[in-house]
Order: sequence, then structure tokens, then C-alpha cells
Amino acid sequence: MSYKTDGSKHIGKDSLIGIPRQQTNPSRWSGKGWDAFVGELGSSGIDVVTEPSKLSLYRSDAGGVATGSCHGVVIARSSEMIADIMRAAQKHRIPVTVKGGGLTTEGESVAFGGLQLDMRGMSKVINIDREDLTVRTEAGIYWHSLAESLRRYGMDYLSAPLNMTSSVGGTLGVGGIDVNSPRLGCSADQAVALKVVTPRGDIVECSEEDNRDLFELVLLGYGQFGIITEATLRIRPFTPITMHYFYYSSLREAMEDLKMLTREDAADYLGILTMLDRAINLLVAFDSDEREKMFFSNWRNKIRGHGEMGFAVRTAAHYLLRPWKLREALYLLDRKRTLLPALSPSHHIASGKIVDRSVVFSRAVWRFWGGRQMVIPDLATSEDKFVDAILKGNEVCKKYFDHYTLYCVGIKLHGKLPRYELSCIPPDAQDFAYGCEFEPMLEGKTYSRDYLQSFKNEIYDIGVEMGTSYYRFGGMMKGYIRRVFGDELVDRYLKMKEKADPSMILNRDVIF
Amino acid sequence: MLSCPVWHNTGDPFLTFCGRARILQSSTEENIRDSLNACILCGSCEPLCSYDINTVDRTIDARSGSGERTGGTPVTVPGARANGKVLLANSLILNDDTILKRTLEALGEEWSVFEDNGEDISASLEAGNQVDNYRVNEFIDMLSTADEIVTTDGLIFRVIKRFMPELNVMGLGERMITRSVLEEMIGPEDLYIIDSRTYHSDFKKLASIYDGLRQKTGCMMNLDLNRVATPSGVTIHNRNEDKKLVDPARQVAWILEGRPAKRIIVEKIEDREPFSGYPADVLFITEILEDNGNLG
Ligand SMILES: Cc1cc2nc3c(=O)[nH]c(=O)nc-3n(C[C@H](O)[C@H](O)[C@H](O)COP(=O)(O)OP(=O)(O)OC[C@H]3O[C@@H](n4cnc5c(N)ncnc54)[C@H](O)[C@@H]3O)c2cc1C
Ligand code: SF4
Repeated sequence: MSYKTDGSKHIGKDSLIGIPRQQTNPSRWSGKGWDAFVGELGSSGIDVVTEPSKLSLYRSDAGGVATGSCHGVVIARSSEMIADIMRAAQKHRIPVTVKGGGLTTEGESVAFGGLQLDMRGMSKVINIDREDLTVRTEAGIYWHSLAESLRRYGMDYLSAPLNMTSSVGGTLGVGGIDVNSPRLGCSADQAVALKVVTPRGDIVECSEEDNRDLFELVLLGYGQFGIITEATLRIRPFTPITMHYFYYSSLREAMEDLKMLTREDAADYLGILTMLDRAINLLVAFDSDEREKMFFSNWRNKIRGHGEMGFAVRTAAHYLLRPWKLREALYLLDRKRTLLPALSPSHHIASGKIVDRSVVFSRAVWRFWGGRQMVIPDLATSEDKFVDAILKGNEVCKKYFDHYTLYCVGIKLHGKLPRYELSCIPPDAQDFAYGCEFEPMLEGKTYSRDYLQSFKNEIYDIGVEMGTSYYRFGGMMKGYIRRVFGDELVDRYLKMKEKADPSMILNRDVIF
Repeated sequence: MLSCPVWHNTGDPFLTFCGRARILQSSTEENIRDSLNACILCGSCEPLCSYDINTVDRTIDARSGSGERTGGTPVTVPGARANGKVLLANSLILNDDTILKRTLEALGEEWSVFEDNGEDISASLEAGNQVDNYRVNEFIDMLSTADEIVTTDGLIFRVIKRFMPELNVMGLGERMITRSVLEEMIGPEDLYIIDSRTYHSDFKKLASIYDGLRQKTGCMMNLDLNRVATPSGVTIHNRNEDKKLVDPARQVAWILEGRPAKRIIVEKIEDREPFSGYPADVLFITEILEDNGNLG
């Protein structure tokens, strides 16, 4: 079978073998009861934005593939306001779709009719406790803005997605993977307590001690069981980091080394970033000189990655013997030339260390992988399945695109927490899970949505076939959820959802 | 959006550059007029724009498109030329003999004030009026014979960079930093307030220069984690307005949060006022030379 990537003909013969595209682009809600709903909100002093020009801001998410149009937008200002909205929405059966940073890529934060609730209006840091090492913040805040406030007091969050504009609330419901997740776990596991507005409009404070059922349902819960309006998160003292890269030409070897280093807690930050499957970069970084020293005395010799020079020589030899792959060689060279300096810009380096690594990495992510359309299917697996699943995904990438990147990290688990059920954490993962994003470089080319969807489906199908999960799952889950997790588990959750949200209005079409 | 002061003050995504850009994809400029007018042209969004858009120029162009046409009032006699090294001092500096004297002393002997500071042009740009092309051309033409230019108005700096990028122009802060003398004058207890308009107009170059100063002196700066300068929101033209979407008191409180400064050094003279209510000495950049006994 042949796939063209030149923009001319993009429907693969076997496209849409997984789910039909419309699963991620549900039909628009009819609008029944909207006027009465808006009237009721108006009488409570809640302003609903309905000017079509303004609503266009909410047409899509970072993925840029799913598009929808809501009937109106409310910019969230307080838990009480959201509670009023949810009570009225239950009464009038109005769908409410919550948007934080809107960095979903499958349309999960896009409203296909009904009300779009923009959480970014709740972006205040409420209290930083340096003794307890916690921060209380409104949940619409971008992680980046949170980092900004924490830094004024020499503090930092534990782990957050590597992008500038995901919000705390959106991330706690999805997962949140960072290059320190092998050590610290996902962002959701940093939460100590939450303020949640339930789908029925109750305001509930919950934690592992109080209202634990709700706490566990909301964390990694895809916004199904409540809207997070405030969060108390663990924090730590800020440290600049020292970073090293080790280069591989074998994806398998790099992944095996990643697993070994993760298991052995050999570094503070670990991740794989590839250019195709030819130049595989294992990123290893440290918060302290002691940890760095320990790595070099205990682990450096046990991994197979090369330093930059060694790798350059080997790669040059590889391409000299394969002159017909000159274009690929040039691509790699160009990528290396532009990407590596972006990962260590001089104004973020002090005494040889990277200061504000989250900014540096996030900006590089946007610059090199961002675009008007972003297609980033992913898989989350147990340790045993990691290598095979990612190698299969790599073959799918090759089949569809000339250029792509894989980004892999380990995720430390904190025992068998109830929140891991029906989540991005694969059911068979013990101690650690592993995630990989498959990110084609679209490079300004236009691909049909069906082409992109069939690519994603092939990745997601690997998950079904191998019994993995998806670390950023959302929109596509509606089509996949039963196939991945089985009817029994899904029906149990569906029952809980129906009880919590009788009109089934909160974040519809994401997983139910 | 991350660094936009309008966003931080209002929490309203429609009033940001991203908001305007998105709205424009499906509607006309009429629908973004409020948003255009809300922008304080600080340029904080420019270095962060993933599409490398010149956000301030775009905003200026869009809002002057339907603005009133203003002629400007050139203060020079026709045909005047700038020669040698010239300072374009804004009216606040010009009206304060001591500050003007200190500033010229700080720059060095061969510097003189050029009569036409272009303030009418920046006033028009800030008000969203159409600027007479003839006036801008004439202004740039007058400056084209100068060897070096130092500006004290970020919008004028931008205009010169935009229309004659080959001219040797710097903001006052850059000039003082590259003279190196500043390094010994400030230390970890100082908070240095960068003029955001000038800084963002030449961000790629200036980010490293300012970072160098910060690393050498240990001083604090009004920079965020992206090395973007947080503005106070006060400009030479809006100083006396009281209804602003960007509240200077709020901006200043945020700039000072977690930054216990003994001295606040402002690059932009109009920033002295919003910082003056805080328990720290507030000095214009050329005043610190005097404060440290290096002048006079
Ligand atoms: C370029 C790029 C890079 C990325 N890098 C990473 C990465 O390194 N690691 C990683 O883990 N992810 C990454 N992601 C994915 C993205 O960061 C996550 O999906 C994310 O954290 C979502 O946060 P958000 O605020 O954007 O949520 P949104 O996209 O706004 O929402 C996510 C879901 O949660 C719901 N929701 C939003 N806010 C709330 C709330 N307050 N309460 C309840 N429900 C809510 C929404 O309805 C939606 O279903 C990346 C995405 C992109 C586009
Ligand atoms: S120039 Fe300043 S005020 Fe205007 S949109 Fe950009 S950041 Fe906001």
C-alpha cells in the first residue's frame, strides 16, 4: 500500500479502520433550552458571551483537527459562579464543555454546541506555603504562570507538561507527564487537595482524607466527575539543572537503557527524543552535582549511548555507505543544528546549568513541533510492553510520514491508586508506566483529516491489540474505551457518571 | 497571552493579541476594535509568538487603519539634520534640567540633544491615530545623518528600527549597560526596571545583554521566566489618564512580589512615579551614577 505525503492525495486505502472520524467530531447539540438557560444565568449576573466573532476563538483545540462551535462562552471567575452554571445546566440539560489551556489534540476541550466554560479566568495563586511545601492555586492557571509565582519565592512545581499553556485543572484530569515523571510521577499525583464543582453544582473540597471518592474520580478523570476550581499541589525548592545527551542509532537500545535508568533512579530527569528512528537522543539531567557524579560513576558505563562526537562519526559513516539517503542525512544535520542550541539558549544558562528548564523545553517544543495542526497520538504501556509497542508505533510513523519525532518517558506510580483505574495508567503497570508520543512533522503540508485520523487510529489500534493505555487519552476514547478497558469496567464508570451527572452534560463526548 | 498585561489585568482572552488574531480569521477588524484599543503596545507578546509575528507593528497598523489622521507637530526647522551622537530625550527629561544634564554626562562628552524627539509620532501611535507618512519620513531622514542615536521612548525606538534598521540606535538602558560602568553601580539589592517597549523591539539582541548584566551584578529585573519584561503600564502619554485596563498599581505590585529591593532603578523616566509609593529609593537610570558618586 502506498501513502502520499505531498498533499495531493491523502486518503489511505485502509484509512479509518479503527473508529470513524466523526467519533472525534460529534454532531452539534441542538440548542434546545439555551435561551432559558442564558436567561437564568443572566438573572444571577453571569455574562454569557455570544458574539459569533468571539466564539470563533473556541473553534478548535491545539490539535487544530476537530472543530466545533459552542452557543456561548463564560469566562469562569469563581467556584460559586460555576456552581450556579452547573445547576442551571442540569435543569435545562445544556452541555458544558470545560476548557483550560485547550491543549488537547482530539477535540476533548472543544464544545460541539452548548456552553464553553473557559477556566482561564480563574488564574490566581492563592497561597504559597514554603514550610509545608505546597501551593494553593486557582485551577485555570497555566503551569507556566504558576512557575512564575513560585519562582519569586525560590520554589518550583514538581512536574508538568512541557508546553507553555496547559492549565493546572486540565492537566490534573488528564495526567501530565514531564521529563522528571520517572522520579516524581505524573502531575495528577502532585495534588494534595482539590476544590471541585460537581456536575450537579455542589462545591466540594476533597483530598485523600476528605471526600476521597470524589478526589480519586476527578484526578485523571477527564473532567467527567467535576470541574476542578482550586488545587493544592506539592512544590519543591527551585534548582537549575545540568543536562547531558547520549545518542543512539538503535531505538530499542535507547528504550532499554531508559527503562534501566528509570528503574534504578539514576537521574532526576530522563527522556528520549528522536529524529526519525535514526538519531535517538537520551536526555539525562540532574538537580544536583552529587546526583550527576553518582550517575557518571555508577551508570554511565552501563548505557550504550554515545557522546556527540562518537555519534557524529558513526552517523557519518552510516550515510557515507548509503549515499541514496543523503536527504535524510541532511535533514538530521539541519535538525541537530537548530534544535540543540534551542535547548540551551545562552540567556537561560548560568554557570553551565540550565535555568528555567520548563521554559526552555516548552519553547523548543512549540518551535519545533508546534503548528496549526498537531497530531500527537500516544501510547502508555507497562514496562514489559514498552519496547515492542513503541517499535510498532515507529513503523506506523514511517509508513505515514517522511519526518517524525518520538518522545518517550517513564512515569513513576504511587502504588495502586483508585485514580489509575480507567485512566492513562495501563492496568498492568507496576511501579512504573511508560509513555510515548508519536509526533509527525507536518512541516506546513496539508493532510486530509482522514489521513491524519487513520494514522492516529493505527497507533491507537496498537494499544487495543497489546492491552496498553493512552497517556493523553480523550476524544478518541469514546471510540476506543470499551475495546481497551472492556465493558464491565466502562459500564461501572458509566453508572457512576449517570449518578453524578444525571443530564450527562459535563464534558460530553470525551469518553462517554 | 502568557505575558500580556492586559490579559493579566482582565483575564479576558479576547483582549490579547492571540484573541485578535483568532477573531480576525473569521471576521473583520471592526470586531476587534476594543481589543486593539486595549493593547498598551508593550511588546511582551512578541518574543513569545510561536509564529514570529511582529505583534506590535501589526497592532499599530491595524489600529491606525481607521484612526483619526494627525499631522504631528515637528519641532525642528525644516531641513535640520542630526549630526554625531544624538539623544532623543522625551519631554519629561527635557523638562528637568538636572536629569537632562545627568543624562548627557552619563552618555559622554560628544553627545547632544536633538531637538526633534518624535514624541508627536509616538503620541499618535499610542492613541491609534494615523501618522502622517510625510512626517515619519522627514523624521527618519533627519536622523539618517547621525552616527549614533539614543532614544528614551520605546515607540520611537521601534519606528526607527522599522524604517531604517541600519541606523545605529539604542535605548538609553542598552547604551548604559554597554558602557560597562553600570556593572559597578548596581548589585543584588537593586531592582532594575527595563523599558519593555524598547527591550522587546530588539529582543533577540537585548535578552543576552540584559542577562549579562543580571549575571554580573546579581541585580533583580522585571523579567519573567521567559526573559520578557513586565511593563508598569505607564507611558509618557498615558501618565495622567486614570481609566486604564492595565492598572499600574497592580503591575507594580506584581513586579515587586518576592523581590525585596532597596533601590529601584528605572530605565524609563515615567516609571519613577508608579514605583514611588514603595519603600525603596527610586532612581532614573542616569541618577544612579550620581547616587554612587560617579558624576558631578
Ligand atoms: C505541543 C503540545 C505539547 C504537549 N506536551 C505535553 C507533555 O509534555 N506532557 C503531557 O502530559 N502532555 C502534553 N501535552 C498535552 C497537554 O498538555 C495535556 O493534554 C494537558 O495538560 C491539558 O491541559 P489543558 O489545560 O490544556 O487542558 P484542556 O485541553 O483545556 O482540557 C483537557 C480536558 O480536561 C477538561 N478540563 C479542562 N480544565 C478542567 C478543569 N479545571 N476541571 C475539569 N476538567 C477540565 C477539558 O474539558 C478536557 O476534557 C502537549 C500538548 C501539546 C499540544
Ligand atoms: S503588545 Fe503588550 S498589551 Fe499588546 S497584546 Fe502584546 S502583550 Fe498584550
